[in-house]
Amino acid sequence: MKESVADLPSENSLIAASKSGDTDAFDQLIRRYEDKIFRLAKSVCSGLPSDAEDVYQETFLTAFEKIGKFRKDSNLGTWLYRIAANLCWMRHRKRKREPFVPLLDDPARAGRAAAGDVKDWTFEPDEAAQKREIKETVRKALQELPVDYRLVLSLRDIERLSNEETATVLGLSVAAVKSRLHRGRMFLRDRLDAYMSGRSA
Amino acid sequence: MKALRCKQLVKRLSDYIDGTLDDSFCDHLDRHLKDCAPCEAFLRNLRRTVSVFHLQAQTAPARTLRERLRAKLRARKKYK
Ligand SMILES: [Zn+2]
Repeated sequence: MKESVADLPSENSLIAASKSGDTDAFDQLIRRYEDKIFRLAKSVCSGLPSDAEDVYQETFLTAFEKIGKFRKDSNLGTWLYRIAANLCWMRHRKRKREPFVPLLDDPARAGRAAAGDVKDWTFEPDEAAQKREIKETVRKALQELPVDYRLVLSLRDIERLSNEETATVLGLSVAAVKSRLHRGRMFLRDRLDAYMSGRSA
Repeated sequence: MKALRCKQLVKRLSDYIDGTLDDSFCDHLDRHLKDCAPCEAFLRNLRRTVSVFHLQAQTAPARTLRERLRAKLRARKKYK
C-alpha cells in the first residue's frame, strides 16, 4: 500500500486516536518511530541483542499504556526516547556493576596529541569483514562505558539530537551532556585508534 | 609551553566539531590547528570517530520482531 505525503494523517490526530485506544492509529505512530527506538536500544544494550529487543517492544507497549498522559505541547519523539532511556537504565541497574570510566579527557592522556604520537586514520573499510570488525570494536568499547555515556553518545551521534534535546530526554544539564559526549567520543577514538591507523590491521 | 596548550585545546575539540564553541575561542583554535600537525590529526580522527560510530549503528528491527510487538499490542488491548 502506497501513501503519498498528503495522505498521511497528522501526528496529532494519530495521538488523539491512540488516546481513545485505537491500535491502528498507534501502529502508524510506531511505524514512524520504531527504527529510531530500535537503533537506540541496540546501541545502548550493546552486545545484548535480546535486551535490545525487549527495550524496543517495551518502549511502545509502555507508550500505548501511557499515551493518555501525553501532553499536547510535548514532542512525541523526545517522549519515546525518554521511555526507552528509562528502560535501558532499569535494565542496567539490575545488573548493578557500572563500569569504571577512564579519564581520557585527562590532558595527561589525551595530550598524546602533544607528544606527536597521533597517527592519521588512513584506513578506509570497504569490505564487509572490515566493517564487521569496526562494529565489533565499537560494541566492545560501548560495553566498557556506563549506560548514561552510551545514551548520550547514541542520542547525539547516531540519532543526531542536539545537546539541548539530549539533555531534555535524559534529564541532564547541557553541561553534563557535553562532558559525557566528549569523554565518550575520546574513549571511542582511543579504542578505534589501533584498527583505524592500521597498527593492528 | 606548546604541549600544555595542546592538552587544553584537545578538551574543546567536540565543541569545535559541533560548532558550539564561542567565536573567539574558535579563532584561537583555528590558528593553533594551522601550525600544529598532531592536534590537527587528532581532530581528524575524532571527526572520523563520530562518522564511523554513526555508520556502524545503522540497523532496523527484523520483520518477525515488528510482528511480535504488534501481536503483544493487540493482546494487551483485548484485556484492557
Ligand atoms: Zn597542538
